[in-house]
Amino acid sequence: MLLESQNKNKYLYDPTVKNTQWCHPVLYHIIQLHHRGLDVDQWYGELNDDPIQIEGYGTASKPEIAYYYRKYRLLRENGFFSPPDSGHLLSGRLSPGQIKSSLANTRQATFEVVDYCNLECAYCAYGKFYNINAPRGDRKLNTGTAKTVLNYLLDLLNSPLNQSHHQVFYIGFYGGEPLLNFPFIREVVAYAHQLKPVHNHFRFNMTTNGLLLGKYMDFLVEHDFDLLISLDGDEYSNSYRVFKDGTPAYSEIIKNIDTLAAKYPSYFQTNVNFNAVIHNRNTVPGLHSYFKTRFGKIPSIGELNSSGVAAAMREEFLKTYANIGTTLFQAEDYSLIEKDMFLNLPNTRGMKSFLQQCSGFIFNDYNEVAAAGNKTEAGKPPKQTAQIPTGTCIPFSRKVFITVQGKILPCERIGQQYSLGMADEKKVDLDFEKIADTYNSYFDRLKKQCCSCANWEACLQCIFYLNMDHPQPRCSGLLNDEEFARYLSTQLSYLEKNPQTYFKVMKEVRLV
Amino acid sequence: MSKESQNFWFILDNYVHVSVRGKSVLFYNTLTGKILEYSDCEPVSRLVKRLNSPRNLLVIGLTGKELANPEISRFVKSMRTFFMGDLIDASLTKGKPMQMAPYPNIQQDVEFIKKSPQGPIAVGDRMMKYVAEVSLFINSACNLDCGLCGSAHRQFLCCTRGKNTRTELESRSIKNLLQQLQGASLARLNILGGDIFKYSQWEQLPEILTDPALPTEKYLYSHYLNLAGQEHKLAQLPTDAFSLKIVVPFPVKKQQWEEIMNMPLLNRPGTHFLFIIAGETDIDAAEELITRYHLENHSYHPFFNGRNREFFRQAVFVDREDLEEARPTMREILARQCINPLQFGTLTILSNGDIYANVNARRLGAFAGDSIYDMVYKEMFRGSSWRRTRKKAAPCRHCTFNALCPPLSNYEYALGQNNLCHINPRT
Repeated sequence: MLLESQNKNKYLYDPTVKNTQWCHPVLYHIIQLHHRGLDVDQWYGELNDDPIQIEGYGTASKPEIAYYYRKYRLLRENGFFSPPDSGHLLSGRLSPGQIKSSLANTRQATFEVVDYCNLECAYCAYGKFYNINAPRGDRKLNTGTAKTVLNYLLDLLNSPLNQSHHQVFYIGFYGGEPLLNFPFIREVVAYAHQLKPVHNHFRFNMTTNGLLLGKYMDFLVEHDFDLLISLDGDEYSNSYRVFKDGTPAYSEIIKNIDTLAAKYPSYFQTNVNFNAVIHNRNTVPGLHSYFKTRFGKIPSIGELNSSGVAAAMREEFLKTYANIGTTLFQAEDYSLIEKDMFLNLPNTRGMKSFLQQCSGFIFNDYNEVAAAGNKTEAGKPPKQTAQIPTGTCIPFSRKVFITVQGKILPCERIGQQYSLGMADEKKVDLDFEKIADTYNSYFDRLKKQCCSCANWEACLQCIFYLNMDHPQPRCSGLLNDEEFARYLSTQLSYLEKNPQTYFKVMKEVRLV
Repeated sequence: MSKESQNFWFILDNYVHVSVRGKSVLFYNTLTGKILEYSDCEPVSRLVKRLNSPRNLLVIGLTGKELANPEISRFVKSMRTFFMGDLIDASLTKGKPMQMAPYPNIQQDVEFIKKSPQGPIAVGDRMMKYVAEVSLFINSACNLDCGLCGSAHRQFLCCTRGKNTRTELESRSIKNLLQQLQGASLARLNILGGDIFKYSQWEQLPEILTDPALPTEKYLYSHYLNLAGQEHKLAQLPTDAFSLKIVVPFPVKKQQWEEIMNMPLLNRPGTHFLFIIAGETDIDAAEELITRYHLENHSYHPFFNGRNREFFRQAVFVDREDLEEARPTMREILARQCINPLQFGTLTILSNGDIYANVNARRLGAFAGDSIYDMVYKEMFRGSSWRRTRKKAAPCRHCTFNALCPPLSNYEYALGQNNLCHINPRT
């Protein structure tokens, strides 16, 4: 694929050899001819000694053309310009064994402790902006169910299918507001302490709105919980986070956080982090400054979920919505913020993904490096193995999520209609064959689109964010060649202006 | 505009490997194999320093005046001639281009993880997937008295006899090990002795070799002298469950060799002869056998016996031409900077139960007592074999060629030097 940056520099991106390189305009012209289907060797053979006019360059003499023709040949002989066989490369399938192994290697089990909350945030994922499939209200997860799930997982974690050792396994508490059912948390923690994982050690984590921290902080500290407190910044910035009667919750939350920081300063420093939502009442620089000054912390910042917004609420949603990039780039002290927040910024993740796709210098693990180190046949690009379509995670590769009703999901961010199994006090019902069939049928329905997508190789699209209930789901991330080239050009232009970001990503970013 | 006042961008191609040590700079074109070296050339050193700066990403501005410097001019011309770099009039673009510089980033890089305890992953995260090859020395018993015994297996896969005591791996323990390796990406299993036919639990081997969790590549190693008369034992093993590797040191004993050549098992697909070569005469002898007996599957394994350093200098040491001919790709070069591709993922279990990532390195643990997970974790953490690279080894770390040379092998241990080369013998 040929690209041009905003600075009018020309680049060649070759997905097969995984290389992106600057391209001289004359070489660019020759590759353009190749892409148009012209026999370049014949074209060159028939050239006379007259110079030719090349757009963006001017006149190219015969010796110049001869030089870049030789370079074109060199690239071609080294595997460049061979189109990737996306049909074959996207023919990967999930097997039941792969899913079972994935669960045996999962890093976290998160329990939806309750489905209710003591706040009624204006932008809540279960609030007014969204089409809600399953109404939420007053349900609690049964402690027996959680214990059954932990027993089931322990068998797998202790089995030879677990490839890890000395690895942390997180038991997570999520809501609603999880501290509204503290007895559940206390009992599950006590139970987990009795279990004997061979290859893992258990830790606990929790996402909380902080309202009940005052009451339970001693317990959380005693059990070394990792805490993620949801807070959108100062009083005004946090003003979408309100009680059910509409009164702001800020002062109560802050009182608890201050008490925690004063009573357990070392714990606060090591175990507490903040998660803020960006909207029209705060900004990235404001959040950066607030959390850094007040708590000495760099927050994670997320955007409002723009999928599933009810049509009637679209206008109000858009007024509330803000984009991280926009507010960040407007900051006067942008570079300082970027330096501090580098790993927490979505564009860092995006740049890593772009470089992984285009540079050929980012590898997921040592096996990928070792495979890269295998000698390839001269002139042939490295062999690529078939992958599954879309950017969907292999189920349970990161976590297993259990809802208040005992539904088992691969993640808390996907709709409960996509439950993969059930758990109750007596048993865990997970049919790996059925799960594999379900995923593979989803992939089958999307594969045609994936094969026509220019970004198929670095796709981040999760199938569960698409409407898979529809007989012909439409991928919202589908990119044609032109759109994809525009995306690549934008990233290249960014790196031209911010070259240091390249080495920063290569040296500092590990996002597995 | 005069040429002197004209500005250019000089762009280094990102398929070019650049290595700088002191005042020496090496450029290696991974597409052509061409190597260019500059020693004590101050202007080139300065340009390379600028090219390598994170601010420049392999692109620097050059003025016409700078290009008038003969050394810079010659350098730029060479770069262009060998398709390693290019020059473009800066006025043709609105701003400076960039190149993605070849710098390896491994997302699960252990050295990185060790330095960042807050990271989402840990050293032992899914580490068993790296175990790709296991060599089991099932026993030490052997009636032969080969001169190379006790040292050859430290240089390449080869049988070895116990020194004083006779030891064996329990078949139950082997099954238990293979059970533990279910989550590994095991691609190859090697079974060696002593004399494997003296293994007292031979009747357990069929079950071990047909374990459905095992890889497709399974090899049994035997000295050719131990093969004679053992067809009935081999017949007890499922024929398609393994391939035979026949170890042949020189000189061969004619009568026994003839006997072996008449064994029908030689017609088994995958039967392979490993000729152990300690000098030129051994090569001649091996070639004669290969020709006379039409041996298709064979390989030569140089053996350092302490007295044949000169043979190694001639036959094994690499020179610049060897490297240009081998033409390592950029991906191979990146891999060699992070891992040892020859040794990564291999485990060896000796008949006394000692487990190694490399038999020449420190023991990882004991077969009976320690969990294989603990041992893999140990190797992942310290990386003294799997991540043993020339970049870290003296004197190679001071040499500009270190990423082009083959990965460190066991010969470096045997000869007691890492620079098995004619390039920088005194580096």
